[in-house]
Amino acid sequence: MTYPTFTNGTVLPASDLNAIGLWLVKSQTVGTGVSSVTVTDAFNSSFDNYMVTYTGGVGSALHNMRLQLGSATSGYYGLGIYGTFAGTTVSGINDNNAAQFRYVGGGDAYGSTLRATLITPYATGLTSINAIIDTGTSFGTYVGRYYPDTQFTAFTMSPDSGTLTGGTIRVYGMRN
Amino acid sequence: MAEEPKPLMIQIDDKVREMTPEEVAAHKASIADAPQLGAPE
Repeated sequence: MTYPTFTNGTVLPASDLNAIGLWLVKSQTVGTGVSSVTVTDAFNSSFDNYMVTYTGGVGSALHNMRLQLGSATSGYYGLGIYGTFAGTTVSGINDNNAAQFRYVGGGDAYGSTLRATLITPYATGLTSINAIIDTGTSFGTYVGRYYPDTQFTAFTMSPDSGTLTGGTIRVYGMRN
Repeated sequence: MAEEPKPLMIQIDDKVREMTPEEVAAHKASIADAPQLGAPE
């Protein structure tokens, strides 16, 4: 397939535009020294699935990044597999009816990130997540699911230690 | 002279404000049982 190259002043065919895979739904700058950031109007009926990123910020302390869907404070299940840069031992960490997804990113004073794909947070179907664990010392992957089937429009991101400063949260819809 | 602890700040979209006492309590409870992933040996 030949991918289109857009140039100023040319007509944009609907067929090309309708093939664009990711659409930036919302961009949110993170303030200074915040303990949590809530992004509203993140999910809607236009997309079943989303990519959420947080980059360019730092933490005040070593932290894991958590993600809460809407106002749901229970029903989060998941498993993270991780190791540290100092060795090759692989460990596990789980969420068993937790208050939120607790290991979906992380960082420290050098940088903090969240890199997650969310499946059907708004559309019918259980909300699932897969994310990268990265605290700067521990690295791994996390997969989780929220029960029951709930329609969410917002999420809250927070470190489990210290605060966040700066950076941008971006929510991309994946074209259905 | 001991410094006063900084208030906990919450951000909702573009608005940043101090947490209410209820929000502070909920936040502290949420991080009370948060196992840190293993640190390098």
